[in-house]
Amino acid sequence: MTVTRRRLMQRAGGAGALALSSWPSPTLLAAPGRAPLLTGTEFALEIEPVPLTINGRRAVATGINGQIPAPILRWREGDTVTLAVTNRLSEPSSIHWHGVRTPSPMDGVPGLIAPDETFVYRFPVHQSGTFWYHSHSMFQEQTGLYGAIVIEPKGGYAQAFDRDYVVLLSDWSFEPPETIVSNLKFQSDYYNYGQRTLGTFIDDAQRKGLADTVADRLEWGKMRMSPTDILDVSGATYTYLINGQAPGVNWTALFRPGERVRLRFINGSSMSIFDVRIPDLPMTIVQADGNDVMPVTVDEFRISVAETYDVIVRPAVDRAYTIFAQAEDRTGYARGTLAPRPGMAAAIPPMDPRPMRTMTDMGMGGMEHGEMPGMELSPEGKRLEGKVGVDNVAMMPAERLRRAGEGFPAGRRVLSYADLRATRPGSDPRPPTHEVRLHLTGNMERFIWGFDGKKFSEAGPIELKRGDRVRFVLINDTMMEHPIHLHGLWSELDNGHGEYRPYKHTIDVKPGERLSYLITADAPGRWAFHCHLLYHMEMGMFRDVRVS
Amino acid sequence: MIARLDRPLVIGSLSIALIACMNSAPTSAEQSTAVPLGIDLGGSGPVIASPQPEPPAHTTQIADQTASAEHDGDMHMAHEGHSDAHGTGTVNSVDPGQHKVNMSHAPIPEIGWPAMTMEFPVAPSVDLKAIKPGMSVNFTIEQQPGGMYEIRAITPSGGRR
Repeated sequence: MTVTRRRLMQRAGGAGALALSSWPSPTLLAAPGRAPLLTGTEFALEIEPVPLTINGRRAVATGINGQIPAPILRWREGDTVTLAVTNRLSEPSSIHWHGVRTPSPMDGVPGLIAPDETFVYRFPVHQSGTFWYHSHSMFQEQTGLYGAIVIEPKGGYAQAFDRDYVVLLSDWSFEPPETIVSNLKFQSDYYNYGQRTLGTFIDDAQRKGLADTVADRLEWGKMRMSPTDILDVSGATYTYLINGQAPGVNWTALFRPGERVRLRFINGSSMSIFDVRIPDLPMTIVQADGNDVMPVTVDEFRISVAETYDVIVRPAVDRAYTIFAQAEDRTGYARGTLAPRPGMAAAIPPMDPRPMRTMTDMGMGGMEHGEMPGMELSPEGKRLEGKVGVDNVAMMPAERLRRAGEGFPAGRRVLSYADLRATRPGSDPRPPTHEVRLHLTGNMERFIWGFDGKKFSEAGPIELKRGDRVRFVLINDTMMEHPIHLHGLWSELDNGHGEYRPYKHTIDVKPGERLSYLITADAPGRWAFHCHLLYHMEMGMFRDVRVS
Repeated sequence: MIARLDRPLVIGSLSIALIACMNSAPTSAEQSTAVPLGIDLGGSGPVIASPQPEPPAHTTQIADQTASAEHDGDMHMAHEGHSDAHGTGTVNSVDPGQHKVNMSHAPIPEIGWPAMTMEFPVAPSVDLKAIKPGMSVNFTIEQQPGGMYEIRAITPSGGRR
């Protein structure tokens, strides 16, 4: 399947062909620096195997300039940056500048860098904020090829802070990604040890009555999914990392009591959604996906794969605070520390209970299963039902933007998408002239994922005219969350704030949810549009958007 | 169906073992070695007056939040030390089983909270029968020993949205 998509991408011609040719390495780019932070306008980056030790066990990962994560790239808004990327791997590679608005040939998807070749990316930087970069080839993102991009705003920051740290979350496995995929293809709940057992069946039967419990289990059986299957790949194989460090290593960011500390959270995972909190320290969210939002103070936020959130905290006391990022399925966590001095640690909180999927997640919000035989699918649903790539169609997709999601204990202030409000009106006040409606579909048991029941290899591109104002409507028919990323164009989430809708590059769609966002097709070219769960993308949840 | 119920029993104990060793607590050896320190990218420098949005006509909650952000251009953190606070909001849903209320509340200046949509546990002494989704309410919350806020009193303020 991977090969099919790659071949299609390579046949692209035009922009693709340009990107595929390799340029001579210009002399201005000296030997690549080995530092974990690179600043300026010219960068030499070498993609290479990097030895890594996690929990005392050695492995060879994929990094840049000897670093995992790849070095932080610090740019300035208004500069033109030049990045000569040399591939020292034995397989093709590429770099995608996630959330950065580059010309299409510089986006890192159309072309691949062959082994021992250099590709020079060069583009003007017209934005500021926290972004990241990662490989868009093979499974290199899983094996370590990700790093932060911090772009300083030309006109200064909107909020004051005294210190500034990148907190890049990721998931590491000693199993090769190819093994993970084949395990999932063989048995989709391979990494899911949290299934309901005969014991819980008996408990449920005592509580709800035997008939209801049997009906409930039969319904879940028909859905081809167990209700505790929250993330496909779990802590059974993953170690969750903060800036490349396992929980026991205790990556630490220093502060002096009373200082304001900006933390730039980036979820560079392949498959893991995290719930982030710092016990005893409220976090004020000031930016989402690189764009300023009206400050909103929370105890916890859920960060889906590829999203970024900037928060400001103000620890007043001379003590350590734990940065705690538990995986959504509660099979593990990433952990770091905010402390006045190195070597300090605070208590690590217990993980919260596992979220359970509900009938709302199945797209049957508010329905008792007894009523289901009388329900009618929409014509659209009927068209999708019965396709091999579709094992469920949401009958009643719900508006869920005001909900933070499942799995949060009551009493915590948890960010919801409805809380995100831009600090300035959107740049395109036109109403959309047409709509692109897509169902997010899957067949869990066969680990097939797609849009509208089609894998990438079976579907044509989404064609847009340059300058079009379009509403994208996404309906999630699956039981999983899908972080949907559109390259090259902003996705303006329609979350009730009118012209102050937040600009995002990645929009997480909850199970059974229907949401929409606006885009302005102001950048010509071919743009990838996909689920950012790496294995969902590789298994077909990918489309081409063409703007011409 | 039968197979689904049987298999987890076999791997049940295995899963506990796996989860137990997945994120083991740091050993003393690990703690004595130097911890990796974050790279401080530095302070913000002079802060610009960011363009503030016009208060939207349809919700006073967000307008209040805007006004407070304009007030000093700085963060509003929750202040420690307060035990109870009063607020107004609109009920989104009531869960009588778990004794919880989901509510969109206006800013609560006493504890520095902006307008938020969130779920609150409700004290057992509070009767939730009169509280319905869509209802505007006045409420009192009190901080619990664990840091969580719990509703101690909630009354309709009249009017549905």
